[in-house]
Amino acid sequence: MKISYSWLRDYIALDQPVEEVSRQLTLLGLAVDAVVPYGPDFILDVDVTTNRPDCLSHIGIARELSAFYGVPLTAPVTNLGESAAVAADTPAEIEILDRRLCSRYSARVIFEVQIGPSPDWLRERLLAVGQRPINNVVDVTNYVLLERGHPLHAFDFDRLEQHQIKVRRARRGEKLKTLDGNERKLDTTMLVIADATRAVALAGVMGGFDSEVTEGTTRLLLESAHFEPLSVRRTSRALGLKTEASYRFERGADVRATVTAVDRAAELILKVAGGRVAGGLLDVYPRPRPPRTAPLRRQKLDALVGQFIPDAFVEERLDRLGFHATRGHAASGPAARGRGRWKVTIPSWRVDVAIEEDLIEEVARHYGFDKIESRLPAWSGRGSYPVGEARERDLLDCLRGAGFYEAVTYSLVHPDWDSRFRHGLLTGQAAGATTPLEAVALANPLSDEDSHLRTALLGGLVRSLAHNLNHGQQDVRLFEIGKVFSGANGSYLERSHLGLVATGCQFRQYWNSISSATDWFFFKGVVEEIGRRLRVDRVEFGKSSCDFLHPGNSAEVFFASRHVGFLGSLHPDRLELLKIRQDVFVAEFDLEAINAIQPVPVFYENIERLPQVERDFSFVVAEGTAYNQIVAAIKGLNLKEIKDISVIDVYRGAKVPEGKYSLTVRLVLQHPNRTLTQEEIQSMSQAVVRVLGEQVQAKPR
Amino acid sequence: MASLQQIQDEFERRATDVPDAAALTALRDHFLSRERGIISLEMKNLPSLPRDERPEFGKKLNELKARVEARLAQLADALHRRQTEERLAGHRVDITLPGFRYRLGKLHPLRLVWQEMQEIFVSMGFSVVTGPEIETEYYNFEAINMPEGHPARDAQDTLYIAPPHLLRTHTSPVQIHTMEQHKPPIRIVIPGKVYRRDPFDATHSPMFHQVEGLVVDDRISLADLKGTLEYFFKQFFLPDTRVRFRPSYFPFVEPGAEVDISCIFCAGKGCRVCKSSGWIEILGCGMVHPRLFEMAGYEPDRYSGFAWGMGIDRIAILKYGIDDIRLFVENDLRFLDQFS
Repeated sequence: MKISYSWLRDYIALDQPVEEVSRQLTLLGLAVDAVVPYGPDFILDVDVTTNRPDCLSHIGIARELSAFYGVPLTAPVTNLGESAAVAADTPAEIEILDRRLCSRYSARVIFEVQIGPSPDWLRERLLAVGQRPINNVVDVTNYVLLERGHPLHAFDFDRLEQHQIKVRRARRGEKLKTLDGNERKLDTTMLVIADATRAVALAGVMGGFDSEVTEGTTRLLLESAHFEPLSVRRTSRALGLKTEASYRFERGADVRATVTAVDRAAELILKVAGGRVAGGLLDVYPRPRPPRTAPLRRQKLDALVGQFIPDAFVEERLDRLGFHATRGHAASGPAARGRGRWKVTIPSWRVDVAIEEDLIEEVARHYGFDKIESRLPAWSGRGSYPVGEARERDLLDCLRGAGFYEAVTYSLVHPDWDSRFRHGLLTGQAAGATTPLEAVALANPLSDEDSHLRTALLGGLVRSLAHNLNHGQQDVRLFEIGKVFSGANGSYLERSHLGLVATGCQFRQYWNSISSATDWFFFKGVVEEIGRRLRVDRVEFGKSSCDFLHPGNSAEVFFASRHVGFLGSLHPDRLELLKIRQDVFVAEFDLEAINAIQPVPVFYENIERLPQVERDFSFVVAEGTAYNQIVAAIKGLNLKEIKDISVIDVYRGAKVPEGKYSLTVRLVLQHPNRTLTQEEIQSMSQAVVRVLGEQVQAKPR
Repeated sequence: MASLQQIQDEFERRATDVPDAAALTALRDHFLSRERGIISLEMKNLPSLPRDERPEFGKKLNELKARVEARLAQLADALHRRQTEERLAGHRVDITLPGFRYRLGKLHPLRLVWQEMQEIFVSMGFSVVTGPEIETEYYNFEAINMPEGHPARDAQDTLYIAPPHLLRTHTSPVQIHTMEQHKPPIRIVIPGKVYRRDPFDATHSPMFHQVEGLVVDDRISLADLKGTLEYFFKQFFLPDTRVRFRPSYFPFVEPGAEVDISCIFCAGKGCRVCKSSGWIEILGCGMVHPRLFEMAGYEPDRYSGFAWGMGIDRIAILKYGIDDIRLFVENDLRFLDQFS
């Protein structure tokens, strides 16, 4: 809301500098965002919160300052020179057909006006606050709106069929050409002002084109009404039509201000456009609203503010704001501290005030939030971290150690892109859903690009990886922890996932070393380390048939026999989509499935003090023989002396026949309580060679 | 049989050329090895000498052995010293060449900021709770005193799924969930992603991160709210950070306030970031509106409380001086690498 400082001073004699007044308004809850010089004047840009429509005018702002500074408010008093007993000579009929949506309709009829440009003082005032002058009559209605906040509308009286005003709902299929020249299609929820035959204005939103005041207009009907906020808001939104009037009506207008507003406008019109006011006020107010009241208890005031504010301040400040506080039966003042109470009458323009807390805010805000002494609440002890915090920190530590940077990608995605990186396991099955769940669509997305909620983290992560490759980075490792979504028919599932992507060198290029590329085994090692770090019982890998992974470089991941995720090298098709020419490894996990796995407790095992013996075995085996078959065969011997089995070399090439490969396995042997003899070692070695020959047709090299 | 003099001469000759440990061992073995050493053999031969020559020869032989042993010890010592010298002389690094570059990963700046906030809140007695990102109109609006048609809904343009489901526009629904399940005292903070129907630009994002706080207990006042937030900001920013409370309006609180902190860039003198005002708007807060207690099923007029909400992204922007909110979701390593 733009406020002219000189205009403001018409209603309150302020001698404070504009900066001081602005600062004070801000501290009263009317934030002044800017003070801009305008000739000798200043324009204040006041951010009026949605609950304070009463401050959307110069008098409204002046009232706050008047209450704060104790300087009287001098709002203009209108005198049309007409006694209350004047008989109505207005040949207009007003009827409210929907009393719920229109509680009051006041009007004046003015004859013999001369439409023309406004005088300079009026044009200047409007221009100063950013309003375009139109003609003297319209300018007056706008002036009154800016002066006291009540929206008015001027009709060309002679364009109102049979000089009738009917406030009713629009008829099915009814149309209205509004002031802006657009033909509007109305529906039956919308309130219109109609004459005998047709709609002539959208109630509280905009007037009609056909009944507008034009150069030829000589007789006016000035409307000053009160409309129900929600109805104005719905109509304004449905038609995409926001006006100064709708802005105020949807926040709540002052039902008791209609008459003073219309009289003020009539007075000004006589001054700037001539004419005479038809005798008698037209005012239809079927169910006058009694003044509202709310209690204010001393005890509640003290408890909520946390500081004593004297009775005199409470009463005086409320009175200056237009409230009236009457002391209740229990005497107030220091003697009765804690038991005093007031009955407070609320002014009609304060649509935001209804309950005791609202009154407490009025008192506290004028007392000054800065004068309330801060204190720390009287509790002690620490709070608690969220569930799973310790494990998440372990996971973050592990990923950081493995060189992954944390990413945050956008939860809203294009469904096609997202689906290209969606793994069946992770969209619901893991959570026990029996029917396949779908991606969740937004009803009102900003664009197609972000019309759905992501079902996977990888779509966003590979994009971020590609962004880095396109900006000169070659070694990229990213991870994200975030929610993915699925569901249908009002039932939705949110799961926490972990996504990983990696490409480029295992270690950053460095002058004194050569670095090998991130490959399957490096990436698998990261996954294994996650399992170890989270102390899950077994980390196992199974065949994957995921369609966006390389079929020969992908696996499903099992922690403690639970299927928790997958890893692999991106399929060449997907790399092409991203225009990436190097291998990219990806993995995604259902963190909730992982978190459900109990960590294996840490329990100290004795350090072996006895000597260990290492024996290496080189075999030639057929292609397709898996390392874990060899491990299983050796373990099948059930020799408790075998402490560890590891692979130390895999060789393919000229020295082994086509269709075969060579594998070197190292066994660590140790007797539980003495040194092994050569004979024992010999016999165990023979057993290993035999079992591998029998079970995987391994031939010693 | 060589004369002792010849043995000594041969030893002296050979002792001039002992380049390494192997040569030293060979030299020792040649003269002193138990089986084949020349001196050892002479020792073994001693009994076969004529009885009268034995004492004299034996003495000389022992003297020779002692001299050889002493000399060998000297040689060993010299060899060891030479080797040490060679080792010291041989390896000179350019200490200005860079060391190995470890490649530890980094946490996202938003997580770093949140972790820092979390430590302060937990130490102050707040427990951290979270909730779903898909919510209903009831929890996102109605239950926090924003019924349909409320003008304050305009400021939070909402992304809908299929009504009544929507993406939460703030983490406030978790306040209601918590109050429905727990009686006071309640002291919680609620971090999480929230969504608004705002297109991306340098200062707006349809997705951002918020942390809300809620306290409900007997006799909680505006003074407690002020003290709590002042303590937090002094901990999080600087001990001399000033905090200003201005009345404002949020439907879920009454009285409501907007909180400004003294500008952390210019210490309140006025700069570009604070638009010369000396103050930076940082959060919204207030005393919990009684309607929320009613919605949560609490005994009326029994409790009071306060609540606040602030943007983690906004705090991160201020803390690190970031000028474009889109950087948070672009995940450029050159950006992510700067925070730890």
